[in-house]
Amino acid sequence: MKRFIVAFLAAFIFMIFWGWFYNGTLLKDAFAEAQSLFRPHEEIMALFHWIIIGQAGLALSFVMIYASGFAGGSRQVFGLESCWKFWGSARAAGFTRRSHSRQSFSCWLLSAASSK
Amino acid sequence: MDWKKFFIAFVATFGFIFVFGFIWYGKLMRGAYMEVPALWRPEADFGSHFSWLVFGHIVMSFFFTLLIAKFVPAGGPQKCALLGLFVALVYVGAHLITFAVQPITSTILWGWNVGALVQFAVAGAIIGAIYKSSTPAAR
Repeated sequence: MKRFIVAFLAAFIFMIFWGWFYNGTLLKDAFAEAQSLFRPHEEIMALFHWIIIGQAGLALSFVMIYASGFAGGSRQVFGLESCWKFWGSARAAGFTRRSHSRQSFSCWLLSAASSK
Repeated sequence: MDWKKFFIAFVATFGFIFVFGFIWYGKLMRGAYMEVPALWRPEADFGSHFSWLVFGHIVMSFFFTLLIAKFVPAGGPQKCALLGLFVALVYVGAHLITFAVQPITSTILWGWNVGALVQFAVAGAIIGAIYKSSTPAAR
């Protein structure tokens, strides 16, 4: 779990900086040529939290895919495997839909982290 | 890798995401797109770029099938659908960023997000059902 969080933070910070450098600096002139397709600067700033949430979502998804499928140099999807087994056992045990999904996600995080 | 099964899974995935895209994005979301017509190419211009749309679907289908075939070699619709959901979440992140910088409506944003989740979960299940390598643990 610790490595999972560290990997997520590293990926998130890289994506923020890369996005700023590549899209915000290098491609700035190209975007300016199609200004009508984008929100005005002030509006983008007002919605900036969506950029942060989106980057965090991207980083989290990548780390989840990596941790479940690639971690430990294995191509066995231990994370997915464990989570799917847990999902089945939770259903068999009659968990409610809400607690079920919450625990499945936690299980996934744990199994993904433990696969390292 | 079982290339025959891979090819069948790739073609099936391409067929599904193309038809799903036509129904979801082309028909069901048409009204939402019409609210911001300035963001899209005119109909005639779109028609002349249709080959790019087909090529984009081929790229998505090919690499998504490759991802599953390489890293979920045992296959199975449930596990592959779960991986499809993770891949869709990558798209959700990108959609949120697009929403921040382009004047799309929240209807379009959530239409794209729900569409991506359904599209990749089902595509993953299709691939998982078709692609089951005879040597699942082989590296």
